[in-house]
Amino acid sequence: MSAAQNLILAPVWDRARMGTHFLSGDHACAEGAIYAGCRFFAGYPITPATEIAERLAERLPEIGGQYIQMEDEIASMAAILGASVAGAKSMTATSGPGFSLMMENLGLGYMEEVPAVVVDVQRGGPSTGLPTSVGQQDMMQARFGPHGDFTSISLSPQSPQEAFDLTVHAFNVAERLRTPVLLMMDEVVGHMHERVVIPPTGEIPLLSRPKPTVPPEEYHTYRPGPDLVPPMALAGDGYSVLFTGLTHDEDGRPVTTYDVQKVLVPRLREKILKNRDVYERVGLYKTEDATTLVVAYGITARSARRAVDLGREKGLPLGLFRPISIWPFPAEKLRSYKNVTRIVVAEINLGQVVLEVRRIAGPYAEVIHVGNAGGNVLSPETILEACMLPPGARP
Amino acid sequence: MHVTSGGEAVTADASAATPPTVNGVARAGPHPYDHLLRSADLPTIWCPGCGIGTAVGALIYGFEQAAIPKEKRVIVGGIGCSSRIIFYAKTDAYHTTHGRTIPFATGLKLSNPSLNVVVFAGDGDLFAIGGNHFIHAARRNMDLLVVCINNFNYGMTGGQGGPTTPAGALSTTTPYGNPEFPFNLPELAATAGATYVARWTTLDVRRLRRTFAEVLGRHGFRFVEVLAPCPVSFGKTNKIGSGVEEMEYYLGLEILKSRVESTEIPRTNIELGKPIIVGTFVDREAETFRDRYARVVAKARGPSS
Amino acid sequence: MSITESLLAPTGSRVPIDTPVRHHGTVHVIEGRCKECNFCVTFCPEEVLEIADYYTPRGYRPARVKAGKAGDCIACRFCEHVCPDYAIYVEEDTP
Repeated sequence: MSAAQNLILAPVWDRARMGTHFLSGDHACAEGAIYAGCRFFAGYPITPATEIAERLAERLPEIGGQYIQMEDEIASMAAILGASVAGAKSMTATSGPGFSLMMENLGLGYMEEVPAVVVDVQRGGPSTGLPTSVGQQDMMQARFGPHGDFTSISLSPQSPQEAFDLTVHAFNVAERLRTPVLLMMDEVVGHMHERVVIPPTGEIPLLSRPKPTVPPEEYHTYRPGPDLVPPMALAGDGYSVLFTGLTHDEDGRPVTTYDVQKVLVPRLREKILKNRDVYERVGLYKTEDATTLVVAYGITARSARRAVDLGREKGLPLGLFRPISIWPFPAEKLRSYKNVTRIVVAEINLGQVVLEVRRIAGPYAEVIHVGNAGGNVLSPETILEACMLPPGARP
Repeated sequence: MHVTSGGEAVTADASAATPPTVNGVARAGPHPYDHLLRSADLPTIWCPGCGIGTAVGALIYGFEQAAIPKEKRVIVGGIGCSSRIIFYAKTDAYHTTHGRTIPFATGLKLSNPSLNVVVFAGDGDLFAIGGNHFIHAARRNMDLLVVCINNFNYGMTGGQGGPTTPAGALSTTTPYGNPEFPFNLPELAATAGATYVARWTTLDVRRLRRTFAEVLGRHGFRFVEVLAPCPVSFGKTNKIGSGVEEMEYYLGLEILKSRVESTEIPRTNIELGKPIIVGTFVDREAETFRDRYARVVAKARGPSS
Repeated sequence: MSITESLLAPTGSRVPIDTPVRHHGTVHVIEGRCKECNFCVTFCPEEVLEIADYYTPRGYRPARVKAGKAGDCIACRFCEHVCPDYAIYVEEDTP
């Protein structure tokens, strides 16, 4: 019985399809993964993310990568962590119901510090909800889904082009900071088709996880570098690493005490918070002189931009503050707009990211939520209406 | 007065007639497996009389006999007593969440097929919460050796019933006797597609060692069920007794199906007090997932590949 | 003569085609790891081992070779294989 060749770690046939394309957000995300060096995808079909899996089922074999359809989303998340500890850049894609299933293993990824990319193409919820219609209702789940204290990184694209760009960015962040990174798309961006430019290979720098710089006798599995990221030895490198989800010391040994917890869990948090320059991105439109900011992400940001223009035509000093990295929320950047008296948070849910904005800016600005229960994109007029409410009109 | 391996001096019981010695040698040296274990973390946390350590030793022997290079050995454990192997075996070793060893190991193996990946977990981890993953990996004939330490209960959490608890047996969650029937693991594995299926007890340690030595170098989905004593939980609750009494219980009940006899898969469940059939039940070759996926890749890349 | 000796002695016209070898080993116990599970003591085919009458710092009475029985170990290594705690091993020193 012959052994198949090593598909993933062998030099690969790099067939990122550079050039100008007309792609859906889902397909652009898949191409972004390939561009970023992803060679392992494990997933389970779910509307509206299925197209990502289908695209990669076709593309990964072409380039010597591994596509595997697992029996459920729990297995998918576990498989991508396993692939990553052996060296592959790995990804999975799902929507709300599957996202819920992935939570436990996502927590394992945070705790064992395993790079991976998880895409949630959000749809209306809760539960089975609106499988084919848009929602942005998983945002707090992205922040707080797994149990326990942790800090996570979520990115949100507003277009197929950005789906491509942010997938590459997500991989870079995941590798650089040794953490799962969430790409929070929504069904409209996932299914809309737009122009996507894929640059030539090498134009976007790609990062890989930091490697150990010492031999096995001197290596400590979880001793962090100055940036709080521990260099990562892979399975097969000869380091006899020990990875456990139990609270562990620097050698990975489980030491389930208050003292070790006190060191480990805050470090995992600080690792993310201290390295904002690695992941933080904000889109700004006409914010310089704005006194009312619209905060929006994903497809809603497209409507919000139009709302800003409509408002400006009426003489209202509106601006769009678009968090591209939603978690951790770019609080400093938001607070730097000192002349803002009102912030309208537009999102397709009954109030999620607005809670964070209110926490940050509530002391000095009136924070208003405009949204719906899911199923429809917010129109520019709806957003503008919220911007034009008399003061104190809505809590 | 004598010296233990930890350097601690031990004073003899004053009532001992002669001073104790360790076979006339003042200090016992390193165990032959010390360099393959995280020796500084011994003794293990397993209870006295628990069989997991025996199975771990057998696996280490298997790795050595099969000449698997040390850096290629990877062990994936789940959650539970059996999964604590990762803290003692000196290989790349990973804990997953409960029940998710097999998909994690799947990703790991596919990402670097040169690695020799062993899933080592308990009956609950593999067949309750992890049952679905087990049958799919078997169906795919994934290149994994799955070792199930079957001690008939959930040991780590205090002795609850599980999917292999015999009908009528007692546990903390079946105080009136288990109303459920257990899985017949070899039958389940064989039906799901495993290409190698064996069952031994930890008493059959020599055959277990030989089995591991034989299967570690092979491909495909290999499943070995190891019946191990759990004296603190299952053994005590069901009045089987201490670890050694549980071993003697196996000694009295097991029937070995050696290769020269039939290799029929046992068709009945394990029941308390009834004979237990051990042996190698399935031993065949079949295309593995990776063999077939390699053809997918060749097809995708077209004639230029 | 003992049974063993009688079996080893050539008799009449029958010439042994080989000389049976009786293996011998020295048992070592790493007492700090022993948990008094009794597996080695119970299953040693030559009944070479017993539980000691003193305690290790961990509170277990370790296995030990019975007085006078060190010569009976046949280096079958069952104790070494079955011990769950890597607390006993055999050095073969067959003459």
